[in-house]
Amino acid sequence: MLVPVVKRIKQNSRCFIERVLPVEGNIVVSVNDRVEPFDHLGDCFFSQRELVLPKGFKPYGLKTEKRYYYSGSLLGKVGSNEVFAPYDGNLSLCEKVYAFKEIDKKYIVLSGVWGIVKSVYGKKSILLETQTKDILLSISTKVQASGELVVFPNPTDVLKRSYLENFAKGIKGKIIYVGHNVSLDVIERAYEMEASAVIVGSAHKEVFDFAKSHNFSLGIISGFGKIKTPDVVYKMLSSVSYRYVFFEGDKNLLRVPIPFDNVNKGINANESIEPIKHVKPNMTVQVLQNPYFGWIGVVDRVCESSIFVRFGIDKNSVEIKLPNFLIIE
Amino acid sequence: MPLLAAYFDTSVVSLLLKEDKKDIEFFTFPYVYSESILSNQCSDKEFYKFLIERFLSERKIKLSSCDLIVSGFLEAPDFIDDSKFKVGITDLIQNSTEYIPIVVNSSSIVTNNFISSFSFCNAEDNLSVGSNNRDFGELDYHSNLCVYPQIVSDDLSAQGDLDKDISKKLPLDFKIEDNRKIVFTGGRFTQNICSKELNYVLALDLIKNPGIYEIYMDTKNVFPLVQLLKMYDKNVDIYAGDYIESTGLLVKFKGSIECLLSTKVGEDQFIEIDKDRMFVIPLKLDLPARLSIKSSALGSTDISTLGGEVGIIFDTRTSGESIYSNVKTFNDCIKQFGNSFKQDK
Repeated sequence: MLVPVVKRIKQNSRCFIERVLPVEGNIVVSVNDRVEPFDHLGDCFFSQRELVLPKGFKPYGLKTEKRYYYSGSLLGKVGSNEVFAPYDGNLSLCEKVYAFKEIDKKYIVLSGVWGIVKSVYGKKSILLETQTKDILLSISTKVQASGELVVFPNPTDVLKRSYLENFAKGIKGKIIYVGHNVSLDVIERAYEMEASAVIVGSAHKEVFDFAKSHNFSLGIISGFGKIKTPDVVYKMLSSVSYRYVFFEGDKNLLRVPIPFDNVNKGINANESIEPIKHVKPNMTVQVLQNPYFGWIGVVDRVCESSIFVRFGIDKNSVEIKLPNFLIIE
Repeated sequence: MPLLAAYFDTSVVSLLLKEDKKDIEFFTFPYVYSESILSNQCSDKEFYKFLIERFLSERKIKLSSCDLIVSGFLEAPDFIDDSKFKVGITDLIQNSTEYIPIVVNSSSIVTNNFISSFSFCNAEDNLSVGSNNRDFGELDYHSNLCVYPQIVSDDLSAQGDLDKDISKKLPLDFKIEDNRKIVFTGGRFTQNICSKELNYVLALDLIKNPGIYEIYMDTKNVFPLVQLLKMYDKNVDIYAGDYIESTGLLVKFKGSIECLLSTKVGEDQFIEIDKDRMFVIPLKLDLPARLSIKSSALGSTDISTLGGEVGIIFDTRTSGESIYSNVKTFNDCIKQFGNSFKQDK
């Protein structure tokens, strides 16, 4: 009985990652330089935040084309409501709309990976050759993002939102693993709080549709519904918590950079390259049949058009019909 | 030189290996390449090449010493190099003379001059199959088909819902020439589904217009493979009917029917079927029986039949509604088809 082999985590000993400045600036590395995650690659100055003020806004003290306001000072009024500057910046009228732009601030682009600079494009982009462990996502929105990985310890549904709230000051720009399953309100909150991406074991279709319609980075590891994240994936995520990672939605991958000396060590060191194998007793399989959809088990015995699978320490095995399972390596 | 014909459906891959005139083997691989689960290891091209090489090597044949011909749904696959002949399913259908093929897979239906397809992965298509009325479980299951296209429901009603979505795609006024052999083929009928009665319910629901039809059920994708072989080599000596199940005869008229069945064994049987009924007579013969049919709509007609795995199916429903929209009719069909297998014909 030939069955496809799925490798949720795969080592990639040669991959390229591009690090880009939002606007042209100074690149401080050269081709063939060896870099580590916290090494500066370059920097630039640009306004990183903008507040577009609503119709009916009347500015306070704006007599020239543009005026500088300190954070906390009065910008103007909308009706009887006063609007204060949320940060230091300039107020100006642009195409009949008032906009308050933060003053240009220094933006530093870090390497994020252990790698070698392969090429530099103008004053904006650096291509790095590196090595990663890639976690395969079953479904993802076709968006690219990167950021520090924060791993929640598979909290219950009730706790997820409070975990997010507790990270209120630090969630912006981060890639969050939120647990086995995510509900719509949690993904909406993560979006509002400007998380860079959300990784989750499973989600209902409506959650995915929300992320897709808002162009928000969402990676689902196992599938739609309520499916546990495979232990091996969760352990891998936990072991690299707070590392800078890359979400590549168009390739269904979460790329986790690894140090030079970790290449060819660990779970994929002796992996086979066969994408299809005969299923045999004691192999690990992922079941895709209700009520065990997404569960990982071990093959007990193989019959003509089905297999019997044991889950965890349960001695009893259950029949799973071909083709409702995949071999997991 | 051995000849390998491959047909790539949306949920299965079917192979036919012909080593010599008599040595023919059909093989079904019930999975397909899915980016969601395999893209980090290999491309679709590498995956299918590995599958074909593996299949051949287990039979001690090298790919290089084998003629490879391929077909796919809908177009001929572009991921197979070095094939001697490539053709899409629509060409296979158009070139069929003996059968009227109805090719069905989990989200598409193709037959002579008709194609309808939808995707559970597409939000707009999801709306068109009424996803708004579905619960989380159903929606998640349908959405998972985009990730794991091979999965087969182990639940009768869930599979029934999927089949209903397919059947709905065929317009009510869709006409098939009667007195013809109709073969139901494609990934849907090749899958290892929970109850084979569902195959017959779907087949029955896909025939919309009244008439008398010979029904054939292709559960190994024999039709596309043999048709591909015949288009590649017109002199090939292979008959699809040897490998396809002869299901029986469908007599479909609106209103009551009277029949006289003469099998030349024992007395003739008179059968009267009221309107708005589904009725199955288990019948499988070596010599043809004569069936005289009288209906208010058709008048009188005589036909000879050997029956088949199911037998003779009478459908006298006047409403024209889908079997799936009436639970009583659906359950009755399942029961009668189930009974027809059990009975000694």
